[in-house]
Amino acid sequence: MGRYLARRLLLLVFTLFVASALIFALTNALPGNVGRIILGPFASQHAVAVLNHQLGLDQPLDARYIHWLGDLLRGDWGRSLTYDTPVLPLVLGRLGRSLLLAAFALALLLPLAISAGVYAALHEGGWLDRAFSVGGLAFGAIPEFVTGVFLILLFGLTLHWLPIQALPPTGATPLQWLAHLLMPALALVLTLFSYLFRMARSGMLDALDADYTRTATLKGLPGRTVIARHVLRNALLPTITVAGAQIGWMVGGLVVVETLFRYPGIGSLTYSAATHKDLPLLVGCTLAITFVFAFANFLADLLYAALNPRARQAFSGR
Amino acid sequence: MSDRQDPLDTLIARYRAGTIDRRTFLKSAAMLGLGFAAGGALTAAPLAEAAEVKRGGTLRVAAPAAKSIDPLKIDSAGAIAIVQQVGEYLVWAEADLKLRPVLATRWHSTDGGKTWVFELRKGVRFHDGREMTADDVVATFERLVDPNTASVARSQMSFLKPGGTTRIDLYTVQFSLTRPIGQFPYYTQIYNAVILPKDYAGNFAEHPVGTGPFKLVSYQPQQSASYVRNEHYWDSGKPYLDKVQIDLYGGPQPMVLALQGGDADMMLAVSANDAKPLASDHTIHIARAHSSATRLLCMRVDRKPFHDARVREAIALCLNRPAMVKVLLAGAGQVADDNPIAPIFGLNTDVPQRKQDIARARKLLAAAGYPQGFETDLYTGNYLELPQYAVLAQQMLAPAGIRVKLHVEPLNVYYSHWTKVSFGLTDWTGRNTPSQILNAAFSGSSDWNASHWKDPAFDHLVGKLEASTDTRQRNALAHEIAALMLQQTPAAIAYFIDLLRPMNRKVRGVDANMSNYLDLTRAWLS
Repeated sequence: MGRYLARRLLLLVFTLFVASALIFALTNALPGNVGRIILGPFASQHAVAVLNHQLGLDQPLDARYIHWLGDLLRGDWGRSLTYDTPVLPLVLGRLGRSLLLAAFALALLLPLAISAGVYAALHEGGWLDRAFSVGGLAFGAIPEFVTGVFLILLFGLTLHWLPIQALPPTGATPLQWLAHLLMPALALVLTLFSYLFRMARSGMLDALDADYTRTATLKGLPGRTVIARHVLRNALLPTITVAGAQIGWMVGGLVVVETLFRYPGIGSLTYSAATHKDLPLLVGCTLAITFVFAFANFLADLLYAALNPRARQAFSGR
Repeated sequence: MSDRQDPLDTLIARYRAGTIDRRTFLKSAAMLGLGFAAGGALTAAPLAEAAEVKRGGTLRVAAPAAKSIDPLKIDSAGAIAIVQQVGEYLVWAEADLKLRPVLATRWHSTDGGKTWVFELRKGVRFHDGREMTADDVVATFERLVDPNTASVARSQMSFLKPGGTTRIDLYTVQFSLTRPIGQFPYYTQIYNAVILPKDYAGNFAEHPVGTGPFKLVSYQPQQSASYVRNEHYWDSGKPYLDKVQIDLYGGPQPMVLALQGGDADMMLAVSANDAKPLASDHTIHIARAHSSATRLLCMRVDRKPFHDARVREAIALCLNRPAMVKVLLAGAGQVADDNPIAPIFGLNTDVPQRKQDIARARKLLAAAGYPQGFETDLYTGNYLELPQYAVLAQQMLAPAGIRVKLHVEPLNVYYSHWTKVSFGLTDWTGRNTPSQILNAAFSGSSDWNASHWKDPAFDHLVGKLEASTDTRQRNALAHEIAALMLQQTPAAIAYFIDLLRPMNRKVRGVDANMSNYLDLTRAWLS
């Protein structure tokens, strides 16, 4: 297990290193000139050149990368070009906020989707199965922007139950935080529900159909025990892997939800960094997101191992 | 709105008397070209009456995303609004372009516009307690025009060179310009020109300082700026608000929703189309100001087929301007005549208004050698109503045989080559003087001359207009410029935009402004 952990961490560091180099190269190829982007279309070309020089953007790309890497190893993530502020605190603050929203959404999504999937599989063809399948697919096909606006119109403007913006005022209590986060979390749940639901449902159906289930039933075990000890354990393995990937997406790909509900998180920060060609900020955001992505997958693997003895053996290196 | 006051007054009177219903009122208002915004005029909140002002409270302003908030580098609307609560200009241009003294109390030119003397207000203190004096004003302007500074303003003040700003005494500053500028005081309100302490060293986000009505207490990029009242503001008694919060939003729709839901008290600005859901909301008033903001449909006169003035005129003749104002601006705009001298400048351009005439356009194209029309690429940025304008132009040009291929690009991409494309549609924000936009967009030496039109006669006229302080002479020059531009048509200019500022009716003392500038000195909450 220790060796596995070390190997995974090493791989993670390597991934982050490659990602940073790629982002440097790719961002450099993006259209636009940072000085021009910051100063706007009506600044003189000379002022743009002065700013680019002040920001060190007239240096060759490899030199800038090595400089950046050196600073990073000393714990300095650099300064954002557009916001003129240190990258690390900005990124960490936004990442924490995005993780909070993602965690809240997952806390709603996982029990809901998995129990619905399990129930639907156990009552295959029943009206709830059909309702979940069709309803889930329908909501999954509607972009978050539309479901989000719908939620705001219903719960915010018509019923006045929930605040429209996700960002609570300073000094808000945890309960206020939850109230503010409920609508964006719901928008995410509606979008992601059908995917996880279908994974759980088909995993359950496969497991219910499997030989070990038949054996267990023929052994005379009560149905409840068969489900709990044999079916569920196997059925949910693929769902866990998928959920791990969803966390990464939830943290990095929330631009639309963050914009609509005004919840400045890592997603909109990354988007802004990319559109402004703000290289230090973009690399910082991407590293943070890559880390979360890899870490979530790592956790999913651990959970997978805990549930699956064969995978456990593979991890222990035997 | 003075040109349209009468029919609107009549309509309002009829509506109030109950002879017409709201629906008919709005319809008639739209036909007058007043659009939905007139709906707000019914119960429009007047500017603050000093006697009834209520003090205290927090005003929450929804503003679009901001980039750098360093005054030297600000360019985005959100950042400009954030800085304007902290820092102040020498003067302030009101919605009707009248100049209000702010940090300067008086100004005059001693020699017909080449040398300007500004007398400063005494007893004004920066937020750190130091008194603002001529040294700070000199340092501010010297910094703006310093070639070693990455300043946005320098390109707009080519007539002010390093060393041109000098101190006469502790409260008097002299600007020596390289050429006469008749309306120079307006240039001291270029958005970067907030007066900063002489030892300002950048890093405004961490060490914000100015003389303004509010002190910036926290700024979080992409998120918000919070302010408290400046207790030692020079205009004693003001500001009325205790706190201001400028919240930054990623798009217009969340801002509109926040205003409707009460999470914001006002929006910095909104486009006419985004404002539509607000028109029927009785709790919201939409303040409106005419402006010189416009769209230039530029044609490169040094390239085929636009090198022929007849082709350019044909394109301008294809546009149905009143329809464009109605469709693209929901009526919140004024028809333009292919020159950027907006009605708000109060100059008499006095040339016949160009109207849609497809038959004449076809004739001109045939005479220029394109009896079957031609194919061309139109570039624009994905911003405000520009994409819809491009589509509308494509449809309006088609009957004349001009087949337009559209390229709607991300704004950054468009701005990286907008002066190079043959046919481009660009948004121009409002300027306070006609010569600012005439110079920037059409003078032979300007970097932003997207039409690549070089006409010495035009440059001469603009130079004279820029220098002139005499109203009669300015009218005559404006007429000559308008006639020349109509004849040459380096760009089709279809309309001027009215700037809209929606706010909850409890917000008082805030007006729309032709530059979208935000002055909250007189703001209060009822």
